[in-house]
Amino acid sequence: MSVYFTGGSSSASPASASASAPTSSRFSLTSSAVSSPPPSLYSTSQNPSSSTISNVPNPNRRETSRMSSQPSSLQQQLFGGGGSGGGGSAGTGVGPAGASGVAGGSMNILDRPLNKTKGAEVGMGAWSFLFAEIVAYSQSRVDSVHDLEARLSSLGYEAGQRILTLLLLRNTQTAGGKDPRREHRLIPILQFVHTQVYKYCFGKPADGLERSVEEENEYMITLNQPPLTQHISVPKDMSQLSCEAFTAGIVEGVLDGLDVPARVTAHTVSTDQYPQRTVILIKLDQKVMDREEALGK
Amino acid sequence: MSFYLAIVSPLDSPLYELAFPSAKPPPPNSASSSTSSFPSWSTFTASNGADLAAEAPSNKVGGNLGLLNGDTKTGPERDRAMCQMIAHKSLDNIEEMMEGTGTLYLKSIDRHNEWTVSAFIATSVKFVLLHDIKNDDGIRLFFLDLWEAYTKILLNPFHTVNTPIRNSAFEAKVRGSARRNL
Repeated sequence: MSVYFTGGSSSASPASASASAPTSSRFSLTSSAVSSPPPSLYSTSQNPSSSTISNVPNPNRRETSRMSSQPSSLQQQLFGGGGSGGGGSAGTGVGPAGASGVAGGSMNILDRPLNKTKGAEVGMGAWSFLFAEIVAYSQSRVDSVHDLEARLSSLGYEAGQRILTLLLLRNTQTAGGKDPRREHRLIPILQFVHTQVYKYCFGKPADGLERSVEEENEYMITLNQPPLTQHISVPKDMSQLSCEAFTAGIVEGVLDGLDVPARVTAHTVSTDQYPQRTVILIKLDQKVMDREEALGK
Repeated sequence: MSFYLAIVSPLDSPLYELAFPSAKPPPPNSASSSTSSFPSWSTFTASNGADLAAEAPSNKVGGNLGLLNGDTKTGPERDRAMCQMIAHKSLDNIEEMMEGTGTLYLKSIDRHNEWTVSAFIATSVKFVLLHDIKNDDGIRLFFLDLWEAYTKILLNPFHTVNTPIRNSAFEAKVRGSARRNL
């Protein structure tokens, strides 16, 4: 409470000042000694009354002090920290903050460790709520199921591009930086997605990787219990929607980064045992098939 | 003894470029070369061996390109344009190479007179480095540092993929790594 008054005392409201002389003097006293006990010149009988009087303007004061302090701290969180260094200057219109963040000596995004993963897992609840918001936000901006899937997929694509770079960099650094590699043949690339990307995203590799029987250029990655959408129930009138379109987008982003352009879609194929079983269908570009043929078996 | 670095997007547009001198002292015998160690206009020679630089003003070689017109560009600007052109020229080689190999670091992939081009494929973007001394290990370490810095930039939600990098901290990082490794 005393901390409170120090903030407000400089701009003490006329209401409290005119209420009684002792209260106003009390304000100035507490402002000089922040956490000291009530001064002895007040008797104990006087104290409760003064506190009740001074409690009256409290809500207002809390309001004003919060209003004045919050924008700056919020801004600091958003732009003043390390994020400013990378993001502020990325042409998003917060340029000046980026420069000041660097000059101010605050921890830049480039100086933060990238590979501190231990204990950095995010709880399922946080993710579920976040993803629910993503779906709800996307849905409010589209008129058809197809558009919604496209929107989720494009969000996943952005994530996939970044996941790929991060995974390759980590693999290289784990190997000691010698001979940085990526997969360049189709089957190893698909296996990379099946195991490493899925393991990174969902904690375990996918349950199956198959090639389509009918089409040479179609591959399928199966996940029996997709953790991403396990709490999502799709309404009947949108039955062909699969929110796993987000995962499909991730896969597409990763494949594109490895120079394997493909059209990736998600389909829910229920079985008795796994009602949420999802198949990520990868339809490869003809260019990839031609290159595979040229490179030989 | 200098370097020219370019980060090139999948659509061949430059995302970042930087020219910097080497931190290591030059070997004594290189003192005879010109003060500017970038490839000068005169390093282009015609098919008959004649130096194009002497004739360029009269013949207007490259003049119709506008960009590389030798008459109008001043020295440093011309050097920069030259580096861009060499880097751009090597992109075809890089793309051809990366189809057949899984290695990310492509060393000495192209050559232009005294200049060697090394490249690094950071997934979709490519790092292209022009250098005139052989230093494979140093360049590999430099590329790895650059890759890490680039990844951090990329993971920032305020950065859009494949847009130019305008970040002073990134440049400081690149220069620091260049001082250590090149």
